[in-house]
Amino acid sequence: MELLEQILFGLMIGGIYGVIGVGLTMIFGVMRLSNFAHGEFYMLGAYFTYTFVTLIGGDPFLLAPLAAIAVGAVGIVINRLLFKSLYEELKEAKGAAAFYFQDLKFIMLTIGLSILFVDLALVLWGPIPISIPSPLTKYIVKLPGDLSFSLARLIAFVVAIATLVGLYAFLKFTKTGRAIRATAQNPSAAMLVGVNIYKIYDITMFLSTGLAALAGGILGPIYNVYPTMGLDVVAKAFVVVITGGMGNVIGSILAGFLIGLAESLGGLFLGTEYKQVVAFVIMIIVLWVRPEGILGGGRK
Amino acid sequence: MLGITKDIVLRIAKYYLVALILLIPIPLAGDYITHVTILVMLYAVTAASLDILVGYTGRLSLGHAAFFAVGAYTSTLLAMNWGVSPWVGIFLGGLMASVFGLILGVPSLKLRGPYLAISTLGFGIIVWLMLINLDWLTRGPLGIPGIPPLPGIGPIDFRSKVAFYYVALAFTLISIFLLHLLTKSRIGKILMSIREDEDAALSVGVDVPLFKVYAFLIATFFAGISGGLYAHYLRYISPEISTLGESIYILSMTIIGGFGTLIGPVMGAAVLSLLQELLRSYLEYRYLIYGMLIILVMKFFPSGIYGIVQFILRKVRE
Repeated sequence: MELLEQILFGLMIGGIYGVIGVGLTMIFGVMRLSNFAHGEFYMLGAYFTYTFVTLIGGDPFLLAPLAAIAVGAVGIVINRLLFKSLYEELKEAKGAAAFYFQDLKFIMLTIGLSILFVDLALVLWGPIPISIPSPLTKYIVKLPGDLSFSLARLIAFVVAIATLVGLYAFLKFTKTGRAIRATAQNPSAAMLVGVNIYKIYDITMFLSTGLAALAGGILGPIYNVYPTMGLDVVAKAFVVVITGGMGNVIGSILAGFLIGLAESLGGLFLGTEYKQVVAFVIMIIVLWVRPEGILGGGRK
Repeated sequence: MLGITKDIVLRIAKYYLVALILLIPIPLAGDYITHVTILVMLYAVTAASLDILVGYTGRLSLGHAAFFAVGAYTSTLLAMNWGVSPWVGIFLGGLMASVFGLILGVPSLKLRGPYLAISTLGFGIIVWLMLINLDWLTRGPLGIPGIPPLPGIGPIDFRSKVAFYYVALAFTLISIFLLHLLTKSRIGKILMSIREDEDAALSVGVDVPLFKVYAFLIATFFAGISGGLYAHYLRYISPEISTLGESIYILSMTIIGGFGTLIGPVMGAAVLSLLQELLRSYLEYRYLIYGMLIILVMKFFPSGIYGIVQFILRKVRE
């Protein structure tokens, strides 16, 4: 029974990993930006949801999307202030070393951003972990065979799946989605056919940071919210992205479930202290055997 | 064979002589300054060793604190469980760090850019988790207190800050001098050619994988030795010294200082450590300023503190 329970838990957390990972993989695929501050947008999502709940009142699951939009707007501002000039430099960049320096700049800038946001949260909301109150955590869903979990978890899972399906449909069928995919494939060709790539970068940043924030908002009522919560997630998100192939949206979704399941089962069989190691071991195996990711399509 | 002439050695050596003369009187300024300077020097060597990877070879590493920690734990455990003299243990700690460098360096040979960054990050986290979970060996998160100090030579007792200061000073100057010679040697030039264009280096017959492994071995060795000295100086270590935050701290010294210059990371170590000390009373806002500094430097002065100093010197000369 415990096995089945762990599989269910693994799938639920995997859905959340998917939502966080998809955002990270999109920015990498479209802008070649490795965002080490991605976890902080997840953290901000949780705190924004908390603030909305205390200010406006209402259920966090209804207010999380609002928080996601607000954080997405923060994402756009940061994109314009910090990264826009770097995209322009990247277009001019020639030679392997130039790309290396650009990667380095992106990584250091986002690391700086991450340090800044963590401290900002510490100053604004304090160091003590909080939990976002939601009446839904009190309801217990019972499944046949002694399985039970809170309604909040079920809703979080459903929201995650709905978001992933919605994102897939958006990228596949809308004009903006096509433009995003075109820019990811070849920015200069996309520009030639009339795509405003800087607008696409803004949209991608909005989606990416918004998705991370949404994940933070819907997990807030289930887990604790604290300033360094993003740091605990960002490494895992990168594992998901690498396993799925950097830039590959479907790959990231599948990898999210894979890592969630593997962690859950790893915790069951190896003991909780080695649960954390499982994800990194999977990543190392993937990098060794299939560096382009489980579905391929990742850039080396 | 290495392409180092006597001329180069002499030209470089004179800078180190000046540095030595300037740094000798520091202990006169009191215990606190001595203590901070010792830590700056240990960090300076670690940041400079990371520069061999990040600045010269073009291999971004987000797990350098792991090697520092491996050196620290190796020397500590050897001294406490087998009675190995720390003088030998610190050296063995450096070698052990290199073994770990090999474990990371070989499988990651083909990886570039963000892929390498994230696998080094993952490696660092694995080492950290190992130090926490192998508690029969490392005492887990509690850390190891009561590490023996460096054994004294004759009347000199290295439990005193002043005596240890001169050990650290000698170690720092010699290490950075050796790294400096390395960058001027044939190996250094080959490493830079790998950074500039790996494929071009390969096509003119450079054994790229071999030299990448060299870079990892050298960088991790010096980080390990710094770690060992750190352990026998503070006489307490815990897994905290191997966290991702610590790796990022070291990397930001290298980058804010000015990577690919070797002296830049030393400046970075000094500036960031001093900043930490100065901002100690503004505990809450410390990282706000630290994060802002990284962003501003990367945005406006990507060549780092070294670049700023050079710019000012050039202006002064004009």
